[in-house]
Amino acid sequence: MKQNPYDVLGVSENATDEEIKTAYRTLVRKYHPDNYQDSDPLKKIADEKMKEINAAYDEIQKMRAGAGNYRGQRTYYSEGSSDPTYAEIRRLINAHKFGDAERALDAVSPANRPAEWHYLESLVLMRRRRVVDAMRELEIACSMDPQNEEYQRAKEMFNTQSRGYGSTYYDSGTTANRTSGGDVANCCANLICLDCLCECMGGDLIPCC
Amino acid sequence: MFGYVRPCAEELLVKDHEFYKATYCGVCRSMRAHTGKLSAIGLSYDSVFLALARFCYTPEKDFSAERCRCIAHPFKKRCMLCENAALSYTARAFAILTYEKLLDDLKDEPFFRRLSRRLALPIFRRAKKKADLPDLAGFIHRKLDEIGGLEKNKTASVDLPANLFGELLGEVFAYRTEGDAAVILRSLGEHLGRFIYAADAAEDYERDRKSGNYNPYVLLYEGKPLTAENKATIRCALLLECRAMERAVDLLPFGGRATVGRLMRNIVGEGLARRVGFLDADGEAGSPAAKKKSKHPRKDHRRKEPTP
Repeated sequence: MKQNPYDVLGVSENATDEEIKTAYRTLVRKYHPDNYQDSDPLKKIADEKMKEINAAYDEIQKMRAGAGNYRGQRTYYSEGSSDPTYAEIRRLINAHKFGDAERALDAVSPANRPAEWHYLESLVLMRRRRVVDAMRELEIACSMDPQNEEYQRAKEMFNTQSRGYGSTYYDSGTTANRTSGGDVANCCANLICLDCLCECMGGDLIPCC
Repeated sequence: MFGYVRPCAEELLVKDHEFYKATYCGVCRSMRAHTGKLSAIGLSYDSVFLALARFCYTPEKDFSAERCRCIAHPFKKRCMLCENAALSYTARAFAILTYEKLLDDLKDEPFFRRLSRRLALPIFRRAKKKADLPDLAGFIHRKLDEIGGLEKNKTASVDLPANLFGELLGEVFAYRTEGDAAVILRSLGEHLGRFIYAADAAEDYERDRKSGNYNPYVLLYEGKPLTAENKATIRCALLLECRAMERAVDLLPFGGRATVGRLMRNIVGEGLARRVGFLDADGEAGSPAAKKKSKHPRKDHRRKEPTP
């Protein structure tokens, strides 16, 4: 059973490097072999756990190093382009000249907008805090050119960043079931309330009470 | 069995506390279902800790809860965990534990003392039979006999009987588990047993000193009132057991059951440490809890517990 290395360290996937290091250090302190006496039967299990933690930490380090700058806050830096118009726009975006980039993008006639245009538009919109529009443009870019890794990665980035919010509040697995059986009671309570209301107004919903 | 193992509620998240209460109700329900309706009077917070420990090895899909009324709370619906393997084992193991403990307590008593306990005995005898775990019952019986033997010989060491009680609880925690689960649960139970025995003896020190009942600490310190130094020694030994339990809890596979993890860490880290607060340097010799305890010294471990 292969576990997600982030789960092993107990951090979310978009945790910063610093958070991951802190979590790793805390765990190492907890499971360090020195904590367990040689005669303690728990020692062997703790050693296993320690190996698991080290492997997870190494894996995350490797993943983050390989991912380059696509993680973190500088996510919408763009790569090279074959088309000179778009290469210029990318240069503007990288130089944080979003106004110029926007004007250059607007200059392209609507009939003649390839996937790359939508992608770059989404980067600019993202900068303008128009997240929903940016996501729509990104969707268009991805659907026009599903093979493009750059677009896919950007989309992935959206998904990762939104993941994790809210989920922690439902981790016991029981919360979802808690209200089962309550629906009938709710229904009855509503009926009784309605009846009271009707009686206030002189009518009667449930004749027997 | 001693009401020692409780969480420190004010440090808990509300949802965790809800889960704890739901588990408490779940154990009660399982007791009524498996060991007879009346056996639920033996319900204690300690049993919830056993249930939590066994939850770590119960598939997550086996957890569900519902809101319903019960005989103890007829007016308000409460959230209760539904039956699963861990809850039913807890109910059955505690029925046996309660019976054997009652039997042991009543062994050397004149008939008319502690009559209520004598009356409860048949309920738990039946509960033990219904629990249907004869090997566990035999094991518990043997261990309690051994402890009884040590107590009769007035052994001046707290470690010997405490170790036996540890072995007893270790078996209860690890019963019918294998591999890592057995090792971790047994270790958890062993340290908990040692803690409970020693903490109980320390708490009853003053009373046993006066009444002359068996108490290893009284023999060890020759019946003198405990000095601050003595208290610090006892406290240190108890906290070491807590630390050992913490190490075992850290190794339990909580997975998606983060609530269970937080509860167990709270109980082991804060709940138990709080129970030995009476040994703090500025604490009284007898804790407020000890003073409130019933008039029967040493043997009366079970107090009526407020329902959470």
